[in-house]
Amino acid sequence: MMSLAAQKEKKIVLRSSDGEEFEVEVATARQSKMISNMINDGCVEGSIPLFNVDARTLAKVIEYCRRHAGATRILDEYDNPNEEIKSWDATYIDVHQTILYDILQAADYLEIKDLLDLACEQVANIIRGKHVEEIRNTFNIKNDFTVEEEKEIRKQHPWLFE
Amino acid sequence: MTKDWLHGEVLKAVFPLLDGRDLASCMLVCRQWRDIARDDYFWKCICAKRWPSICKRPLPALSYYKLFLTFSRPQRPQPLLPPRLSFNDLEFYIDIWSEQELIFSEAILGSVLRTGIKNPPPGISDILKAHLDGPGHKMVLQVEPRFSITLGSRISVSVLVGRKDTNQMACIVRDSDFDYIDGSAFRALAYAYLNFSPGHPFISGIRAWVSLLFMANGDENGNDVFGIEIDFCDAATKEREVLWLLDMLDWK
Repeated sequence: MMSLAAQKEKKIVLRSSDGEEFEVEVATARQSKMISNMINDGCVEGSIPLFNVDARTLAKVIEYCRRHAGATRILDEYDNPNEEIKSWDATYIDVHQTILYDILQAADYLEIKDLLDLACEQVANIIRGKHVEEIRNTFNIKNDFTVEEEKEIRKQHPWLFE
Repeated sequence: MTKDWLHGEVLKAVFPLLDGRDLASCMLVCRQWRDIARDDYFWKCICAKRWPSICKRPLPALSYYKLFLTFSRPQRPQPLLPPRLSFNDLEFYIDIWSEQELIFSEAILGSVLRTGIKNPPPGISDILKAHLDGPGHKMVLQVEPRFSITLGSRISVSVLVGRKDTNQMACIVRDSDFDYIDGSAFRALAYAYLNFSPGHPFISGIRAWVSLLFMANGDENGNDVFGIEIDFCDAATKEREVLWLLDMLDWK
């Protein structure tokens, strides 16, 4: 049996950029390479301030880390995460673009590689199968090609405009 | 939300996940996307999936981007390049015999055959008129004065062609009989298979057709020939194609 103090030791406090504190298990926190390094270096006294992550995003990121820390990774015969985790991930990342963006930034900053990969895959999913104009609309991107460039492009890629 | 949220670093992480078609779409979104997506590294990854063996050796000059664009989808037929030959360089030598007797013999400029018959004479059949007005490039000569042929006798033709640009001659029809009479169109046809230069091997089965065009008022025995037509309808129906075809002949 672990002592109460020992159990308490296993918690770490993360503070979001807007001042909200989140108490998380060490295993969850260690999903972040950045925080894991801090734990190894013994710099986790008190709360860890995360200046680049707001509370809404941090809560979402912790949700991911908790799930992935809890599920000791069961790999299938091809070393892929098992189906259950995959479908959990798919539901998790199916969020509005603004949140997806925040997750991307946070995963990059906190060095959570799997989450970053998942978010990038989701961006790729959004792009897949879309026409150029649809991509521009989706991401609110202005077409900054000149008329001549646009013409040239259409000539080079006629099949994209069929 | 107008955050520049798909900044370069994100795109560089996302682009390798896309297939060629999607990456090509990304290239057309805006300049920033294009500048990132045209990094040949991404295209190399895509080509490596499509044709794994090509990454085993350095490629000849071609970029992977070009390689993918060119060969990943069925290629469209390319329009013919302008021919080297022009009708102004050509002269046709046409001789027609009835049995042993010469009944027509002319050297005709290419430009004349190209112009054809602008105003077909009155009294030709509607079918023949429709044929002459129809699409497809034809070389037609109006015969003045008309000559008569007797059906049932052996009528034969030879056609040579000369070109002024290289001062060479080629044979189009050596000696063929008008043994096919198209009664409804009022035409008699002779054909011969073209001989191509050894520079164009593997091509065969393309014929030159020579037609005698009759007035519709012929009787059972004789027909008035008002025109002569040469075409290569097996292979060439446009002027450009005809000139390419003629250029491929075995010029001596």
